[in-house]
Amino acid sequence: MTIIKRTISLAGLLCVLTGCGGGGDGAVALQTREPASAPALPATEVANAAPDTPLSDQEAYRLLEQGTFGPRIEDIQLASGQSPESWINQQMQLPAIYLSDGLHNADSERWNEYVNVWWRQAIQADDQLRQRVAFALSQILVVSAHDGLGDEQFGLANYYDILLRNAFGNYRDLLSEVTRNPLMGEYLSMKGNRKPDLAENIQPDENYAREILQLFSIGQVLLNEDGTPQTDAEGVPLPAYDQTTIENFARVFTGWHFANAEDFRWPKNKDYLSPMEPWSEYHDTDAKTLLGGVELAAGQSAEADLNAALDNIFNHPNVGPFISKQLIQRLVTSNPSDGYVRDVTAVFNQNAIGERGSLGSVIKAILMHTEARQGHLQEPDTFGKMKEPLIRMTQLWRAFEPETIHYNFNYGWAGHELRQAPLGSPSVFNFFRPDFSQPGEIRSNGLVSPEFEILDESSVITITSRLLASILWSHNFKNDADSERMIIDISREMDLEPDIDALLDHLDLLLLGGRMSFELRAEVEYLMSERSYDGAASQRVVEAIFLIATSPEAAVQR
Amino acid sequence: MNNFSRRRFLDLGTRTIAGAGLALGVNPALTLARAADSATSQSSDYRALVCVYLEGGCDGFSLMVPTGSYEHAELAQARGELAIPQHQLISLQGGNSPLGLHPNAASLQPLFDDGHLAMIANIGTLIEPTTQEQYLNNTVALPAQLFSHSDQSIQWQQLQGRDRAQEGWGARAADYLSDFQERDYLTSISLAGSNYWQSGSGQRPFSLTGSGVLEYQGLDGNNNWQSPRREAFERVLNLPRDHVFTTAYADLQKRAISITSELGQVLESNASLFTDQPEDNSLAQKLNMVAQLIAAQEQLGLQRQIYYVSMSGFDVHDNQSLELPELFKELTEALAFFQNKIDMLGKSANVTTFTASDFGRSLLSNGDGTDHGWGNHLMAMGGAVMGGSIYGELPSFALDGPDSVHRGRILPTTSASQYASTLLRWVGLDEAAVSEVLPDIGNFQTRDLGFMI
Repeated sequence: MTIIKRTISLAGLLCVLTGCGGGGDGAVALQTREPASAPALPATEVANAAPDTPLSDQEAYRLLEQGTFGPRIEDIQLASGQSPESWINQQMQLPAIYLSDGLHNADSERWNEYVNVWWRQAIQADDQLRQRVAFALSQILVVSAHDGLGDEQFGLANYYDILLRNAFGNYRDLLSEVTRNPLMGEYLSMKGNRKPDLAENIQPDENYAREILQLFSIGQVLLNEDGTPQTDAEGVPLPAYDQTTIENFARVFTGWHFANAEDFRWPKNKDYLSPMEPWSEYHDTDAKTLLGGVELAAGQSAEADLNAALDNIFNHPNVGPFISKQLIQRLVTSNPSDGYVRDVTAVFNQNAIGERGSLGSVIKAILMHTEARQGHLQEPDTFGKMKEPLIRMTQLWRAFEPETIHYNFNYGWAGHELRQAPLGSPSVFNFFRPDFSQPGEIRSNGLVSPEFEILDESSVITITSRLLASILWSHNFKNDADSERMIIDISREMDLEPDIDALLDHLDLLLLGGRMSFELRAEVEYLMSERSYDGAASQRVVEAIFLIATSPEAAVQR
Repeated sequence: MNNFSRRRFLDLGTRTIAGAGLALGVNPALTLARAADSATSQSSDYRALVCVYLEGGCDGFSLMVPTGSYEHAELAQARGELAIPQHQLISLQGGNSPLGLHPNAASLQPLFDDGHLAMIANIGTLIEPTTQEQYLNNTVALPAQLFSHSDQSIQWQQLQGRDRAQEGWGARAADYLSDFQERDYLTSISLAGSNYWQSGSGQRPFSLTGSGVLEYQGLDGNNNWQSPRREAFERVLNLPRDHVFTTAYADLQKRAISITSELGQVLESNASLFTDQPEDNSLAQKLNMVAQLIAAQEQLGLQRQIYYVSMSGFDVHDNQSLELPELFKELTEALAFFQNKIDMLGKSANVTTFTASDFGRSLLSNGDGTDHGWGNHLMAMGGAVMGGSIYGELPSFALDGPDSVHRGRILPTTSASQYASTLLRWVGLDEAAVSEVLPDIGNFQTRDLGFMI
């Protein structure tokens, strides 16, 4: 399938060699693929951008917390002194690390091995911003290993690669690839969807039609550019479409199946990797009415209908605010101001070179906006977000990154403990909804807190226990290393340990971005003093890390 | 609302058999027997409602199917290849509207025949009574975003008309119920984490899993090595903090610590009675945990409770003829297992289980599945249920008939508010409280569908 290039290539290829952990026993190197073309740096001019001045350590930490799977000391050192745009540009030019390549190098016979590859890449990949954005996109354009797709590991990885490949590309291309993907075709049952059969009382399947509108593009109600709903005189939100619209789109999405299907009804061949192909005899060729009353003429091919329908969706004014706001929520803060959403929407609608839907420009706008860079100073009591459980784990494992992650490393059941796993949502509605509001102070203040939806008296215990086990029982100064575990490296902390102030200053920056309160610091010191006998230095270090990493302060990104 | 005025709303007396005549076909002998039975077997004043929520829109029209020749043919014509042949249905005795169960729902037959299970026909999210004409001309208040999973499941669980007040009707009811027990924080219990039904401004639900309450690892306060760590961990939770998210996180962690240790001990004491759940049935596992908690009701000093349990997978756009039978098997075996457990605990008359779901399915097939509908058949189960009958009104299943909109999406003939009201009256809310909890109930003539004692 050819994708129409909408971006103008500005830069030559910047060759970067990735550092892959040395070839120790059981080590697995990450592969990079040469990009097909030089990555163009997205043109960005966002209104109300923060001054693009050199970052302090703490400012660098905040940018890394928003744009990576967790700050490492080396990353903080590298980013501080740079401007936000310079860091973002460097990240955007790194070649992509793909999940499929990782899975080919792993034990793909193991259940949920793609999850282990995801962990490996979230922790080790250099193209962190791309990886983090792809993860955010995987929670908007949801496909899940549930519903019987868990056996299609390469299909899942291949789907995730679409998100990685297009993370800084154009949203229209992304919609196109996602719509034709056979795994999505199975997940939301567009694959095998056929034209009406009046004799048999069969009408087209509405599943994909409904969810591409409701979840992947425009949402249910008409939006202003700032993401607030448009309402009628009584204050009731105006719907963006109705049931009739869904039925028309359902007829658009007819006539597609596996690329190698030999039969449309009961194919034996199942190609979960190649884009789906059209079958003209199963496509509904009647006229259709799309969003905004746009008419599709009768007699068009499945392909022409699909492209016209995706254009129609992509050009709806809701897409900018709907997608921009969710990306802000995934990366920066649960409760962006209307102005922040409006400024990012403007970039989605038209970037500096007149392109609509440039995700690269949108991501830049999100991270360079004054609210992202200084919101914690403007709204110190409410700015930020509850960290997603997966990201709490990647932050820990990146902060104390092991020299190598063993080939046998296995945490494929993460979802059971964390209520979150890559491509492991319980439904197309993601793990949590963008408007979930935790009862109590958050709700009474009119705020939302999406990630709280999966946090309850059970999951808070399993998450805490997982952090504890990963810190206290799985470090490189403990003697019973198990190759299936991630073994955190505390060598640097052991060197600092004799000077407790130096150690705590270091952990404060590494785990809390320098926000440790005096009271928390006193508690950490006291707990360390309880392990004051000889030979317990490593115990003191891991107790300190445990108490900080499980604190409420470490659970929130600010 | 202060405690004094809330107390006024509770009606703890035994209810009369109001509205029983609303059933399509009530077996009067059975009704009287059930009423007498209930009056004598009421072992205590304890009452619990258990909501079994079927995520994704359960096809109730395939679970309970009319067996009358005309009605069956009408439905079969609409359903095409998804229709269940008449001879495969499990015929139910009782009621004057012949009805059959899906062949994989055989576990429900004895419950129905013994009068412990009632079917309630064609319920849905109506704000006010709605005819086809009113729907088409948009002349009545309608729920926003009909046919959308997220909106209709929230609508079902909040029943707040067109408002999203962010309060579930379970939570509003629990506000009335929680005054009557020393551990008010155990009034609402969820085995499915956060949910909209139990979420409101008052007492929050307590969440646990089908395996019970979980232990913190490495934080045992009774272990000499771990206790300094445990104490430090708890002191950190109690530090002063000013950010709304860190405060909310600390609150949740504190709740988890205090309630789970207490509850863990109680559950350990009666665990041996609850080791026989069916294999590979996660709904049964969760309901088994509900039964275990209910067994500890007196020990915990609980008088009134609401439980939320969910089962997913009902959004059968594809492979309906393969997937739905499996789902029905798991669902109905779990329900029968649970009722059996409750009966053995001697709490049959104290516990009422009911089903709810986003919506029913459309009648038309999309080739190998169904799309989102509206009205749906549901069930209530327990010793206080006047079972063995079908309540409400069976709709016409004609594709172009008076109860169909968008070709094959069935207009509900009974409102979810009426269903909820019937259940809430049983659990002890008086009329005024029911009106408070269910703001739309006044739009309907009948506040009690009659399926509860």
